[in-house]
Amino acid sequence: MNTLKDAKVGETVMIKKITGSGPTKRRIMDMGMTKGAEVLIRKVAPLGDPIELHVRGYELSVRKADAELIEIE
Amino acid sequence: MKTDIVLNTADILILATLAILMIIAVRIAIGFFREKKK
Amino acid sequence: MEIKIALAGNPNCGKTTLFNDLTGSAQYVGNWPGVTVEKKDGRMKNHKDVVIQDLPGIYSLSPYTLEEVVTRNYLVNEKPDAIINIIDGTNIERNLYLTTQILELNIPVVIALNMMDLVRKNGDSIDIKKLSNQLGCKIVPISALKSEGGQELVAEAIDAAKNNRLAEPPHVFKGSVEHAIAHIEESIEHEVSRDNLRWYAVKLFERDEKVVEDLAFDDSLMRHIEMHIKDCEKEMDDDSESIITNQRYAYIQNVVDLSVVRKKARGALSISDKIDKIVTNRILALPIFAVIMFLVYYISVTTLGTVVTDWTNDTLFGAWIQPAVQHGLEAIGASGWLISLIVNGIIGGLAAPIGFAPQMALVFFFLSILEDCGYMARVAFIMDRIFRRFGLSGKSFIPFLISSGCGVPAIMASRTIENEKDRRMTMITTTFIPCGAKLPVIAVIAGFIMGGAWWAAPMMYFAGIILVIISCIILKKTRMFAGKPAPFVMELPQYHIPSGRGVLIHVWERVWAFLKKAGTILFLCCVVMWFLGSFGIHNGAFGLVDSENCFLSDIGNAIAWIFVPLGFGTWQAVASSLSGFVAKEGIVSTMGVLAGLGDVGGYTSSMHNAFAAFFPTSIAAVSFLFFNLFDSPCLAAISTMAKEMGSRKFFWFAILFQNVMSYCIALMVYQIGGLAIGTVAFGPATIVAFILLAGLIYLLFKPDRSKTAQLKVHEGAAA
Repeated sequence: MNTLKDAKVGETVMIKKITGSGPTKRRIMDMGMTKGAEVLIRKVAPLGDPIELHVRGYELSVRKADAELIEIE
Repeated sequence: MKTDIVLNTADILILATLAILMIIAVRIAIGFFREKKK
Repeated sequence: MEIKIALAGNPNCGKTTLFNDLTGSAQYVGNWPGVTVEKKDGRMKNHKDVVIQDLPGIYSLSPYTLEEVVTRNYLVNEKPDAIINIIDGTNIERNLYLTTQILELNIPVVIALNMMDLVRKNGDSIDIKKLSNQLGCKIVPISALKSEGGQELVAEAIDAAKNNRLAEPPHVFKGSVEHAIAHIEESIEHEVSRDNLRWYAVKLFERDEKVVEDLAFDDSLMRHIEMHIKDCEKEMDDDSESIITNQRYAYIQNVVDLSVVRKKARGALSISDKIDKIVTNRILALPIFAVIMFLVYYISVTTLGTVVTDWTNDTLFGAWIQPAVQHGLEAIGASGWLISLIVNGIIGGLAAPIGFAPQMALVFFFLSILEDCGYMARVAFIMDRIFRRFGLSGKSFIPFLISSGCGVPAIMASRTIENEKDRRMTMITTTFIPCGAKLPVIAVIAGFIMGGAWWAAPMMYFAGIILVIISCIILKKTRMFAGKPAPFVMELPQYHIPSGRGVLIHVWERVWAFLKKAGTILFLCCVVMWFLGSFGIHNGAFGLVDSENCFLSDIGNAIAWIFVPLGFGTWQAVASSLSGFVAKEGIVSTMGVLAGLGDVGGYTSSMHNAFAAFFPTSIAAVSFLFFNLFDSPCLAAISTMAKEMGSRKFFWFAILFQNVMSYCIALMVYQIGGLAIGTVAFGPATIVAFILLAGLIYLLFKPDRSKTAQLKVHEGAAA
């Protein structure tokens, strides 16, 4: 099962599903990371975490641990 | 060195002004703390 | 008749600029009752009967964050006459997500499509008419920064409010979802008002915990609703919350595809992205940050700031105001002691913090620019990794940073932290970082015990940082602050040149708050302190006395025993600490006064003998330093904390925590440190110190109940 955590910088992926529950999942989805959305992995922060994504036309920062909840294809 | 306190007119005027300023200050200050309640 | 218009929108969409534009300076800033969320409202310029209620910047109306809950409660319960929904035109999809939710509230909505100047610059085009038709409400294009479209917006909003122009709600949900919601609407239509029917139905479908709690329907109704939800979930093979969110975005995607034409390819680098290539670059990010911070402090404190502060203290007060007042009072024949109260006690006492204000203003000025232009989000992004380890997020870094200048704006800056527990924790620990006013004490003690070492100040900053870390780890494990760490899902907004006016309003707000505190609380305390320090009862009579016999020394002597285990149980040391309660600069000036040295600025070796009476040993001086650096902050900061904390309980906890912490640390430093260097004998206090140390270590390393519970959730999800 491929998650956003495994994606490489520069790759563009499509979201298949968001696992988990509660506030974190809701927040991730509220920010536009929904089924079928296209995400570009922009970069990784200097200290290794979090990661910067380009989604729905803007830049979003997400922790790697949370990126693991996002299944992609 | 101990000094007795003698109040002359000027002193009383000044003290009165001070007292008024202090009362105003207290009222404003209480206002700060009231906002934090609830 | 008063009209109430609410301002709602995402963070970073220009809402504050618009609010400032609409209300001028006629604003009132406070907190929503009982919480740490800022509440801002004001009267519209030129339309004095219109009240504009600024709502917190939010991305959604979910039940999970404080800002969202405060906003939805306001919108549902206090029903404003109209809502101006500000949308960032360069970021339409995500902004419309909130819009779809606002449109369900049955309140007249006017959309302000902001940043039109940027949209044009990017070469994008938005068909406003089409968009307006699809969403069912009026859209006014504006550019808040350039003041375009403001008039039209105001006219439309007032018109909508007066005529109760309700939008034709768009059909966001499709198929079985719409069916399920319609069913729920039918089931609850007699229980809720017509206006809120749609809103509640959708929220019930999402199993929104706050709505469920508020409505408190009986079990049979809830089970009926649950049945509808489950049917839909089975059909869509997803949970109800996700279903709704997905459908909203699917709808938005459609709408945007029809009305927006983008010039650049998706994911192409904008100017902001190009800047970030350098600013959040793996190698350059931290050095760049260090340079920027160094420059900010170099200009505000070391150079320009100190010049203005010295001028304020030496010239303005020292050469002009104090002598002038002195002469004036002498001329009208006031008594010597009264003159001393006014010139030395009050004016002298206030001079220090007021002299400090220019430096503070400069620091706020630069930090405001950094915040408003978008850089601070990058700072949080870079620093998050470090803060995550102690249960906080990168956003807490900014208050800690500001603390090194002054704790008052630092506490105010913690407003940007979304999670209330994190916010409170940051406020409590931020003053452990030594502020500018604490530098004199460090210098004097460093001079006293080791002839002034340059590394004393950096070492105390380091100690402060460690204490912050330790405190956060410990607090996070307590029931009060434990909980799932707030999701750190943060937008990195486009860089933009901050509005000069916005920055100045920010700076002015903070400086004024500080000066107000100085003028009132500090003023009162100066009078009290002066009185306690000059008067006393000697030989049975009340009057002006020498330092050893004043009330302050009586109080000092009375409570000195508390500080004996810390090594500085002398009334002079205690009295100096007490004055630190008012303003930290006061510690050194009181020390000077009590040692008979008059006003003391820095340390000179001649002072050694004078201070020796305060501190029987060097290690006692060190312990004194630790205590005064880490106890509760100055009164100005304490009152700021009281206001921002939003809760009496947390406020008193903060005070208790800070003072107990500093006491314990000072105790350990004196007893254990003293034992190690041979100055202090082993005794019951030493045992207590070791027990405290053991306790501290235990609190640091004990298993975190909530963390282990979370790990299980994560494992369960991944399985």
